[in-house]
Amino acid sequence: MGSLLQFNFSSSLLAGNANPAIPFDNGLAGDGHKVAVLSSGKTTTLKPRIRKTDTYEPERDNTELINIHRLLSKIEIEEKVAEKSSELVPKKLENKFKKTSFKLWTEKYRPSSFLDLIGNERTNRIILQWINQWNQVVFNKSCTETDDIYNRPDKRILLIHGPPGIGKTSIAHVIAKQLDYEVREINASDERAGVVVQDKIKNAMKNNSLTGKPVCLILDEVDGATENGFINVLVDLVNKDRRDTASIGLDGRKKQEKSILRRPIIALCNDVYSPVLEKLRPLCDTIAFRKSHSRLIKSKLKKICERENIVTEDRVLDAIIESTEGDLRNCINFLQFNSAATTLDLDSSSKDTQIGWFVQLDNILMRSAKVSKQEQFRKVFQSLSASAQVDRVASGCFNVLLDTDADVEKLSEISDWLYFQDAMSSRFNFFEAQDLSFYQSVAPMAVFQRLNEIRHASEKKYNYRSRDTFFEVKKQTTEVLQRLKHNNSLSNRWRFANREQLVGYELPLLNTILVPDVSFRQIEMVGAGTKLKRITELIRAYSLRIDVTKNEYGSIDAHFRPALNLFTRLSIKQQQIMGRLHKELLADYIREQETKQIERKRKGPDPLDKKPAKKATFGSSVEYFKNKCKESSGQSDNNNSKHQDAGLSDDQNEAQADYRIWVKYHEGFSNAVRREITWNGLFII
Amino acid sequence: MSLWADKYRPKDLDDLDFHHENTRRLKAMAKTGEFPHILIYGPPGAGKKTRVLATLKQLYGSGVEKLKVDIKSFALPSGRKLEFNVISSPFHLEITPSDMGNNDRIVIQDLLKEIAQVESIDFSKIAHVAAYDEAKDKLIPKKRFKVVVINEAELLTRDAQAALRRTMEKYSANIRLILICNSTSNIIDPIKSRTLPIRIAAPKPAECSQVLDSILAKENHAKKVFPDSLEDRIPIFEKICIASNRNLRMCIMMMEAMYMNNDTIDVTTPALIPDWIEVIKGISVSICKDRSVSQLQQTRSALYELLSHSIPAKLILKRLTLSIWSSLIFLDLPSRSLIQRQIVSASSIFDERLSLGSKDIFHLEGFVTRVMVIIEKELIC
Repeated sequence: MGSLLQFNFSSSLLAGNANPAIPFDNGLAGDGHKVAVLSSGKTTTLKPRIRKTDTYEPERDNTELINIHRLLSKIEIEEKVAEKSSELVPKKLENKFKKTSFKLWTEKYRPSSFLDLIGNERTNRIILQWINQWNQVVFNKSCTETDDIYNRPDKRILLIHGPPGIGKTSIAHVIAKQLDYEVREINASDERAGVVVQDKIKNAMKNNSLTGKPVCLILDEVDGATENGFINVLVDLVNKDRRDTASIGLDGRKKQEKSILRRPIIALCNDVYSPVLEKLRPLCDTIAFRKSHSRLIKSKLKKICERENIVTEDRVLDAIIESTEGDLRNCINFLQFNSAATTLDLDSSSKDTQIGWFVQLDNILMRSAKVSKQEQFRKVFQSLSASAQVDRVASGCFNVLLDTDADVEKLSEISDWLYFQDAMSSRFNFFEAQDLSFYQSVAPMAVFQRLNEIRHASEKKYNYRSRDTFFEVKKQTTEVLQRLKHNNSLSNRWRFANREQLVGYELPLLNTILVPDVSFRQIEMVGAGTKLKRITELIRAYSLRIDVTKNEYGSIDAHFRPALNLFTRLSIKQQQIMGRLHKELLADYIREQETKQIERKRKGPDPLDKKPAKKATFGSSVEYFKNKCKESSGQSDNNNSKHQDAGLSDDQNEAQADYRIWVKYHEGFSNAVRREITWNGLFII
Repeated sequence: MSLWADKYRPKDLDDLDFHHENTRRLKAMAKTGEFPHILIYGPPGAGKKTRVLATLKQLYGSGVEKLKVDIKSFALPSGRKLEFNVISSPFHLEITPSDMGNNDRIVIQDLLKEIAQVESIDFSKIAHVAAYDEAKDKLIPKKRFKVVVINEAELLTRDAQAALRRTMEKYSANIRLILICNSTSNIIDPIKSRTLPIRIAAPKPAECSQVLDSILAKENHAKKVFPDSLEDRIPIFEKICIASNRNLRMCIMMMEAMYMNNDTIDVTTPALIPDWIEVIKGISVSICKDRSVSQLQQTRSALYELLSHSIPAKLILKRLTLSIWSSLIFLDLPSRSLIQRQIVSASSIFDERLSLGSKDIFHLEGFVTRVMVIIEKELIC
């Protein structure tokens, strides 16, 4: 290329010299070759440049249409190749592959499409629906109508909560992807101080990403937000949006629309009752994400095992699922790191010194066929005293205790030992007395001594369900109690009330007072509504609110907020009453608003008519006095000029005889400059 | 608008309905303008708090009713900050240190010292001025001390009580303490000796019904629901009284609940008992009837449910013991009193376990199993 340029350059020079020593046409050789003489005197032949002509494929020419037959044949070929390779390639190769590209299985098998998700189909669909609701504002597609003018969902943030490892993050990502959003995630690993996060959220909400897709914001682990700012930013965002949306609806004209949410936000958390979320929760659509059914988890695990060539038994998978309490991520982790031996069984894992508490529990309850009881006892004891999870083992013992065939007397003995363990562990936690931890392991051994028997693995069942719901409800009630204590209302009494009295007597009785167990008509009719009035007034005095939702069976589900009704069981009748009460309160509220409005209207013109304007603005006071001037004749005018600086007394009109009208007149913007103005001067403007 | 129990709460010492002897003494004490540290104890709903507030009103005038709620924050040595509710008027303040669990010592130390030290300065002036004014027009003399009311004093930890000890003497010129508790058994002796103990017993059934009747007289509509003649009303009141354990506040609330739930009330109308008590009754009856592992399983889930609704484990244990005691009648036992004694002793053992351990469910179920064993043994003999 360089020489070529040089050549051109020199040849042009020659031409410029107009020295036709070597005529150009001479240079034309036979088959398009050019002969040129360089300035140095050398002659070269130039080959004509062969143009690269792109040979267009015929499909391309047909603008975007793809020949399906060709594709099909391609697939066929690929399939054949795949078949062959799978026949040829032995398992070794796959092992090699595993070694070279090491990836966490939890990431490898993270679901990538909606169909990959397991379990929770109903919830999944609800989430899908929720995001679809944003179609109008995001994609300008139509969607089902709601009260909102953009048909967005009623609550602008979706809050998904549930135990760890069951796919909350996955589902949020998958669904957002499915609906053609670009996912932007803010999680606990990011800086979440107020200002930083505000910018981030704003950016995400207003701008499109590079790919041109709209952004869906996923806020992971919101309950872990220690920074106060984060939640406040979110609450602010929603409140602003609400306000602005409302103003649009009212005015009918488009305002600045500055802070209207135009992108969906999904928040994820484990503990929805954590105090951090207290402010955010009422603003969100909350969805409880439950564990998938163990059957589904098992089938998923099986698939993974197949893919990874791990030989397992159902029994082992069951044990894994049980031990992780349905935590799928944990299950997969367990699979990955115990799959080195390509076969998986419980014995292999129990060779570890650090074994899961569930394995230990198994060892305690199941007589091993291989070794003598004495031997097993020694082994279990050893592993227990080395373990840091005696507490969990003991809880596990307690949980399965009743499913073993122990009689009552044995159970009573064991309960003494469990007490011993409990006392030890609480002391242990309290004083951090390391020595005591050794004695803790004695308690499960007592269980071993009494209950260790030969039995089949399939026989044992763990009953975690009651315990799970227990913790769930417990969290709710403690949260409600907290709220009641911090409730700023009449109920100051609750703030200091004894918990025993409060929970045991006061709240249940209050509940029965507020929601009598009789038909609503009875309350309504008796004494011309005295009872009803009383109830509504009490509810207001305690600043309670009633939330009414329809449950899946279509019947009414009403709750107090804070949830007082947790402390009693409500009959169906009472539920209905709650629903009616809700309406009643609402009607009351509307009535109140109306009367307020009427009063405001009535009051509105009042001050102009009767009360003298004490401090009137410049424009309005001029108007006002002009009116006054017309009313009163020249007499008052004389009067006025006497009180030049500020005063005016109107003694002509009898009704207004006593009023003295004071005018404070500010010349310019500051009243530092004082100048006397005459009454006439004021009007001539 | 408030509940009857709050609406008809006496505000002055003169309005109090029972324990007149007590009232007279409190009044005499308040009149002198000087009073010692007081330890008021008695069962819930006997009117301890009401009495204290009425005494304070007598002492300082209606200024004590202007309450405001402050949230004070304390820094722990570890650097963590704690928030704590304080209700105060210009003359007194009310705290519940047991809310803070193990950190109550810090609250006691910091808060009381702060009050004791700061207030002494400006209150001496006010006292001086007040004394000066007194000669002219008879104002209520301003007291030099501030009163600190401590609720649930029996739940104070040992440390906190120890911290209280010295404060009570050292700053006695500026503050007076009123400790309110249900029983004095957890209060350490040094504090008992520094305070004037006053016991407020639960009202007698007759006194209860008198109060209930006086409320009814003021509630016109409710009066029509109850029977006309006093003789007919008395049995109803007595029933309420028994159901609510002579806890006057609960009596009043229960009467209100009955009024709300019924059109007419007579002796046959059932008293409204909280659900959890019913659940416990169910448990105890079934324990006595059937002592097996499957029964234990049911009991366990019932206990879980009770605990999950934040009902204190000790309260459950107490109720359970009492209702097992009474449902032993269903059994044909050779010596009931012996079993009852054993059950009570078991109950006390497990009560201790509840306070030493942390896993309530272990011990509650343990108690149930123990009771089953006791009954079983007795039946075999």
